Amino acid sequence: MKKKILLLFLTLFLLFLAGVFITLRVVYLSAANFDSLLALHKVEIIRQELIINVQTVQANLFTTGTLFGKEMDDIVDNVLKLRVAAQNCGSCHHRPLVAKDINELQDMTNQYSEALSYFITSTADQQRVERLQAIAADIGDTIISKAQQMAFTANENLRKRSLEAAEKVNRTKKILALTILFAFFLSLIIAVYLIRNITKPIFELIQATRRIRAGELGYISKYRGHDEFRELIGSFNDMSSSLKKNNEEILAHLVRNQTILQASTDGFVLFDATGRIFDSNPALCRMVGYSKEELLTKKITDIEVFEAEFDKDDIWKRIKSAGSMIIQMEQKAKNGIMTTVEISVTYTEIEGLGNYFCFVRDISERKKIEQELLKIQKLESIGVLAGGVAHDFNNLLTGIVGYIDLAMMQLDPNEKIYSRLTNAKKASLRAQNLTKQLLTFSRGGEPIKESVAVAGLIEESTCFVLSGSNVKCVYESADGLFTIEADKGQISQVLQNITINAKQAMPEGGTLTIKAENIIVADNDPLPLRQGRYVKITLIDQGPGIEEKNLAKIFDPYFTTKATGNGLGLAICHSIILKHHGHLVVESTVGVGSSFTIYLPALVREDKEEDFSPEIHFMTGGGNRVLVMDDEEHIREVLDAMLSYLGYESGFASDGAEAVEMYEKAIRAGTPYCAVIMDLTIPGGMGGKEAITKLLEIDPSVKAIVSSGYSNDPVMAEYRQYGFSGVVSKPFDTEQLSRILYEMLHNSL
Amino acid sequence: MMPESMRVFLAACRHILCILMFVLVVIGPSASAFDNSGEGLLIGVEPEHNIFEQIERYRILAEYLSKELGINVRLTVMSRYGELLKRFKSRRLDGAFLSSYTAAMAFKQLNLEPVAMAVNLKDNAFSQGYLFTRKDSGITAAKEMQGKSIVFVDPATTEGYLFPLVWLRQNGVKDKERYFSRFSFSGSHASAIFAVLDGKADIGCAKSTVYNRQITKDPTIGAELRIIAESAAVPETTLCLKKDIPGEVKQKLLAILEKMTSTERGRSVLHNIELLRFVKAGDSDFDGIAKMIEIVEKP
Amino acid sequence: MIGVVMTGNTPYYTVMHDAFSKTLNSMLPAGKKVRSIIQKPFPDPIALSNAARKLIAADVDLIVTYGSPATLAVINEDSGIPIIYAGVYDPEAIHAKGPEITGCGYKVHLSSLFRHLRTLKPIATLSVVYSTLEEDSVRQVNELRALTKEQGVGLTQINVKSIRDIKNIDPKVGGDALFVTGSAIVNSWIDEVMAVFKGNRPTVVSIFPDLAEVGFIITLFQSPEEQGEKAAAMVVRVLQGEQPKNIKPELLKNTELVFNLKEARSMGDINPINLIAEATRVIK
Repeated sequence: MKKKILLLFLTLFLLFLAGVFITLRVVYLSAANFDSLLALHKVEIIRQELIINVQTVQANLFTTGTLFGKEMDDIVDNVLKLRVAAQNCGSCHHRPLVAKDINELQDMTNQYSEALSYFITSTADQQRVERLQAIAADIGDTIISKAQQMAFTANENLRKRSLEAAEKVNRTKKILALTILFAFFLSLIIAVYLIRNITKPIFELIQATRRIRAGELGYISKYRGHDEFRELIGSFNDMSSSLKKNNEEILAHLVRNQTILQASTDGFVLFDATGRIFDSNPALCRMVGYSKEELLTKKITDIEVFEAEFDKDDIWKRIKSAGSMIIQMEQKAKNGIMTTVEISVTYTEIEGLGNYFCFVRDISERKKIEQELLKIQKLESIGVLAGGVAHDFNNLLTGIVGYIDLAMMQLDPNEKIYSRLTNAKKASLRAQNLTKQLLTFSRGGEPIKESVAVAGLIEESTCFVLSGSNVKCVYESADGLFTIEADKGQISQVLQNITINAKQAMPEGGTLTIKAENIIVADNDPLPLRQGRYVKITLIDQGPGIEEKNLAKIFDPYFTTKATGNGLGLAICHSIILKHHGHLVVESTVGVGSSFTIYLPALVREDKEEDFSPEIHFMTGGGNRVLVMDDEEHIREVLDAMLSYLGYESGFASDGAEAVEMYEKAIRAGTPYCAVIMDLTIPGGMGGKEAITKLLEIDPSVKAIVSSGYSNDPVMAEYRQYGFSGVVSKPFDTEQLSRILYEMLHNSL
Repeated sequence: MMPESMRVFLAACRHILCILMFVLVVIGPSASAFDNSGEGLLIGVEPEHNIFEQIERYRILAEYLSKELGINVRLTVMSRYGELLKRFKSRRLDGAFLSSYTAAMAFKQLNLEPVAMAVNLKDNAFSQGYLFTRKDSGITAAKEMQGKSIVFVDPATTEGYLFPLVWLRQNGVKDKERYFSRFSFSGSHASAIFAVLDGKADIGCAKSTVYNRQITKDPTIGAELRIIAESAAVPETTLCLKKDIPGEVKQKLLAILEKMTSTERGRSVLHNIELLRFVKAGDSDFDGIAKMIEIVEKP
Repeated sequence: MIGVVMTGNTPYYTVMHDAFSKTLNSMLPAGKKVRSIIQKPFPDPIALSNAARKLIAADVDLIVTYGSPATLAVINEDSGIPIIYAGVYDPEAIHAKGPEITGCGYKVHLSSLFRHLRTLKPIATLSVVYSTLEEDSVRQVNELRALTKEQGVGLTQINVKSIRDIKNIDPKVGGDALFVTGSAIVNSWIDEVMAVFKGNRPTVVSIFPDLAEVGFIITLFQSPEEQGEKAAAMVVRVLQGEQPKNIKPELLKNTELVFNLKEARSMGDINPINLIAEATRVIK
């Protein structure tokens, strides 16, 4: 619009300029014409004067008699005037033709005066005097006739010029009139155009503002222009939309806040400096036992809960100066139970008036949790300690088990010492289980999955717990149970925890039935499980059952109904099963008993559980070379014995660097190692994690097994990601070693 | 062409100037007791060859004199050498610029007296009369002139008539009409020269200034003519005034004329009228003419 | 009986002779008549000589000659018959003197004519038309040559001895002005001469009057009539018995300057007042 206005005003200005120019030109031309005419008239006057002068002289010339003196003066005067007149004739610009005539006229005038001069000064020779008189008269006549002829021509020109001038003036008048008329109409059009273009959008804007004022927030003007007004209305529309949006947001915010207040379990009360209550929420009403209406008629100090604190003299001042304050206080609830409440008061001045925003929270539960947390922290410390103990213990156990194994290999199984060694080994393995429990408890880390035969694990785990108790355990395992991929220790812990609970639930004795079966979860199964094959383990006790109100909470940490319980057992169970992508549910009927059902996903590759008998089967190495890296010398020794028993040749390294060097050397020597067994952590040296990276650089097809007695490290759980082909937890026996080596070497791993 | 506005302005200026001058003339103290008539001095001018240029020049002088003198000095042309004195009376002139012969006659007949002489650009206030013939005519003396034709200028000229008559008489020629086969008046000094050159007359006479001017214009003229006799020097142009004009006016006028060379304006006027200066004229300047007249008038 | 020899058939001499005859008749005593034999030969020496001899043979009482060539031809015959000449240019120059010879000659100052011409217009080159057949014409050219040389003006000589010579004249040789000498041949054929310059008309000056009215602008001449009259008077005196040697030859003094203003104006609006003033006659 600005451009348009500028352009239009520029047009008008230019038009005005053009008008002024035309007018000036017209005036100038007219003036020039009239000047020219005037000049011609003046020239005409000069010519007339010239003719009159000559005529006077001529008359005098022939009337000269004896009284010549006076006439002589007249002649002289007239001739002098004549010369001036003739000079004046030539003083203005003429056309060449006219100029020539004028020059001739001037020449003649000079000749005339010369002749007259001769005539006047000739005092004798009458003939000569008469001749000169005649010549002078002759020239004078010629001047007159020439001047008259010129005057005639000039008059003719004058007449033509006058006509032309008049015509020009008429023409210029018309042009001027047309220009003015044109300018007027153009100005009118411009004015109308501008008014329309300016008023229309302004009217539209006024309409829009009225509608918005009337509450029609978000009103969008439909005006479509092509100028700044479009931009203005566009901005206005944006503003309107924005207003609407903001308004809605504010309303939503208010509703949200109100809802929060209404739904909050914390009590809320707003009061002023005099203590008068303005607002409260239902939670507070519940807490203090008054309705909102009642509260609005009261002062804060009238409320029992606040009375004690807000009756204190300095509390108001302290809150006001600090801006906010949190007060905790104990109080006895109506049911006589002691509860802890936390009052959070914030002082804010709104429009010059002091307002106290007060939130009241029952923090009894939180207090309790805090105490539990303290316990957990203690437990965690114990866990760390236990982890350390377990690691060292496992290493020791590896040696013990290994040596027992080796000793047994050298004995006839029928010998009495063989059976004792067998028991020793069993006890060692139990010790191993204990350490595993310790580790599971301590780490809470990722499960170290392996193929697990469920039936055996159930028995192994529960039998130990129930031994020596009056609870009888019934196992009902279906045939052909799927092998699962699980952390044996963790799953064992789950089974143990549930069994312990069942045992505790049946202090008078009873039967714990443990069932195991295969199930297929379909796509549309209501169970929160992915589609696939699962092993379902159900543990059913004959305890008092769980109250319904507690049923939902039993997997929550720190929930316990037992005075001595830490409330973590079932929470851990739930956590472990979830980490195995399984599901744990509880069903209970008070007075009948409870049943816990565990769903665990089956191993995708169908394993040959049936082939996997607990019988010892050693898969021999056939002379293949195995490199062992472990910082513990007794472990190296045991492994040396085990491997040579299994028919492997072995090499030993005490840290990663050495192992890498040896591996590289062996390749160069043409006697490469077919497998490497590496301890994960080597204090003060290169561990397995770093060594495998180096080995992969040397030989991308290296087959390495990571072994550790402390399975907290994520490498143990996600060994493949780190480049290992297998994992073996310490302690392990010869059979485990032979199997894992065999499987790995025969690409089964 | 002068713009109209300018013309109006100038006209207005002129009017104002006229009124001022009028007021000065009317109210201001009278410059001269003589100027009672209010007409000032009327001075006659004897026409020369180019009368119009002459008058234009003299008008510049008159204007100057009017201003300096405080008296309006007007000019009038006196025609016909011979009838000049008659005109002087009839026109009631106060004075005139006169040639030597006319002046001499005027002193006698009109009670005039010389006041100032004009000194020409050749620093000469006097002129001479020349008597000349064609060189190829063989005439060198008066006796060889017998039977020849002679051309005079005008009877009222010193150089063109009085002097040759005197010379002839001094050379024994008393009757010019008998002595010459033919005699005529050319009407102008220049014509007398051309008459001899053309062979219209054998002997001619003219004023030295005109003769010299013609020779300057065309040197071949000098080569063809021979000057046989030269007259005594006579004043060429003399301002003469009537004796009854107050002496103080005359003195003032003379003083103004004499002092023209000492003022810028005066020098400019002198330059315009082609004169060097004016010098005081006295009766003695006309002694030569008087003598000539005396000789001629002797029976 | 008198014999008359005219140099060619030229108007100048014809006018002169007419004036002569008129004066002679008027001066003769009543009842007395004079017969005359007129010869107008082409002005070559032989024709003139023949004409003279014819008159001598006819035993005329006296011979009147017009123009220098005729006079010289008769003088050369040395017949002892009195000779009265007229129209002879500067007779002293040809030593036309003798006991039987007298007459009236003329002399025009060419320098004067040239001066007047130069007041009319500036002259850088002057052309002169003359005839080597005529002695006076040649003298005039010689005089003119000296004059133009002195004044630094170029001179072009156009010699006309026959009508053929006129046709051979280059019209461009007209110069700033054309000077026509007192030649009988040239003046007889003056129309033909002027016709050559047709379209490029020159300013013509002459020492003969413009009797043919061909448009001479300035003529400085001495009257042919006066010469004829004076010759007639001399003839009467001789016829009355006076000896020619006792009759003083005359040179005309009355020079006329005729200015043809009409012609001047036709060549441009010019009014040379000095010339008009000094002219004895102005043709308008």
